[in-house]
Amino acid sequence: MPGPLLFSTNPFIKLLIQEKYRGDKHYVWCSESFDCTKISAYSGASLVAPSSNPAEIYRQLKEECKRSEKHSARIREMRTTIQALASQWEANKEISTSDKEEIFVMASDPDLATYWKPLIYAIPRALVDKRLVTVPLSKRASFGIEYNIPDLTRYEFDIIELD
Amino acid sequence: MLTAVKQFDRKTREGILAKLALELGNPFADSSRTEEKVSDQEIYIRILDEIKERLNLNRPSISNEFARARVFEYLGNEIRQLALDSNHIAEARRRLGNKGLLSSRGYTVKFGPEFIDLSEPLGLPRSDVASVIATADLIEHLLPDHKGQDESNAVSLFVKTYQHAPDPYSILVDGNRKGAEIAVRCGLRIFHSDVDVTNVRSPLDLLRAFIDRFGHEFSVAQKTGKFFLYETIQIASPMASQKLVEFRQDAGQSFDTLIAFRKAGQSAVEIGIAYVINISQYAASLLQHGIRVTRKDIKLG
Repeated sequence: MPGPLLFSTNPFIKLLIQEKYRGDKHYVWCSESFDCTKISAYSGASLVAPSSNPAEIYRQLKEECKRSEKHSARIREMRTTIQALASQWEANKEISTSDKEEIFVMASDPDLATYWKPLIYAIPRALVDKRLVTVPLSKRASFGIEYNIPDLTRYEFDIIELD
Repeated sequence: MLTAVKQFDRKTREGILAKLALELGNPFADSSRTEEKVSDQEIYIRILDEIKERLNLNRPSISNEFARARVFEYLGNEIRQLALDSNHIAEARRRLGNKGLLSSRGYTVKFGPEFIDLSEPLGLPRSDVASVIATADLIEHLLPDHKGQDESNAVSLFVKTYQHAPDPYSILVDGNRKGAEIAVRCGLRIFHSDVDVTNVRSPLDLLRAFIDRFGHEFSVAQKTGKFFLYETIQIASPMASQKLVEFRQDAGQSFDTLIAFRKAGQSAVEIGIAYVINISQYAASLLQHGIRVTRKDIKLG
C-alpha cells in the first residue's frame, strides 16, 4: 500500500524558476519513497534506480554544491536542460525574452551552493492523487514506479533541507 | 559555430539546439514532449557527431556519463551564446538584483555613510558584514513594488547566526538594494541573551525583536511607532518646513535614526524602512559582552 507522502528532489533554481516565471506551477518527478534503498527488497518502490532515487539525488547534489564542483555531470546536464527549456518557453511565447535572459544568467551563475542546493519536496499524496501521471517504463531508469505531476502548486508541498 | 546548423539563422539555431538538448534527456519538462516525432533526426545526428568530434570523444557513447556530460555542457554553451547577448547580461543581473533573485555573492556590497559612521564603530568591521552577506543563513529581500512603492526603497536583510559561540549571537545586516548592488545601511550584532529570539523565523522577525528591545518610539508626520516598513504617509505641509522624524530625547541617552524614504509628491512620503535605536542602551549591552565600542558620540548614562 502506498505511503501518504510522495518525494521529489529538485535544485533551488528550479523552484525559483517555476515560482517566478511559470506561474508558481511546479513540474516534478516523484517517487513513493524518499530513499528507495531503505525499503523492503520485495517492494516495487525498491526497484527505483539510484539516478531517480530522491535520497541519492539529494546526496549527490548536496555534495557537489558543498565541493562547489563545477564539473558535476548532473549540474551540467540540468543547467543545459533549464536553458533549453527557457529557450523553448520563449519561442512558445510563454515567457518574455527578458525572462529568458534572467533564467540564463541564474543558470550560469558560478555560485552553485545557492542555485543548485537540493530541496526535498514532501507532497501529500491525497492532494495530488488524481493528477499523478505514471512515467512510462521506457522513460524510467529502472522498473521502480515514478510519477510526474505537471501542475503542483506551492501549497501542495513542503520543502525540507537536511544538514 | 557548429557547422551542422550554420545555414540557419540565429533564432532557428537556438531552437534546434534547445530541442536536441531536451531530446537527450529532460528530467524537468513534460515527458510527453519527448514523445514528439522528431522530423529533424538527421540534423540532430550531425550535430551530435560534430560535438563529439570537437570534444575528441573518439569512442562516443552517449550512455557514458562523462561523454554525456561533456556533450550537454557543449550544447548548453552553444545555446547560451545564441540566446543571451553578452551586452544584456548586466541589465539582466540588475533586474534579478531588484527582484532579489541574485545569489548573495552576486551582489556588489557597498557601505553607506550610516554604516560607516554608526555601525562600524560599534565593533562590526566591514569584512564581517561582507562575510554575513555572502554566507547568510537567512536572507529576506523585501519587494517595494508589492506595496506600491518605488524600487529605490528596496530593502534586503541578511542574518548569520553564531549559535555555537560561547555567547551566542547573530549579525543582522540591513541594506538598500539597487539592482545588483547592496548599500549597507546598518549592521547589528544581536546577542541572544539580550533579545528574545524564540519566535524568530526570518531576518525581519529578528529586526523586530531587536527593535522591541532597543528601539525607541518616534513619529513620522504625526504617525507614531517603533518600526515602519513600506508605508506611505501623508504629510500636512511641505516637507522642508517640518522634521520628518521626531522623537522624545530622553536625558543622558543617544539615538540613531535609520530611515529610507522618498518623497511621493508634495504631500506624502514613502517610507521604505524606519527605526530609531536607543544607542546608549545598545552600546552599553555590547560593552557588557566584551565588544569594543569606539564611537565617541554616545552618552552611556
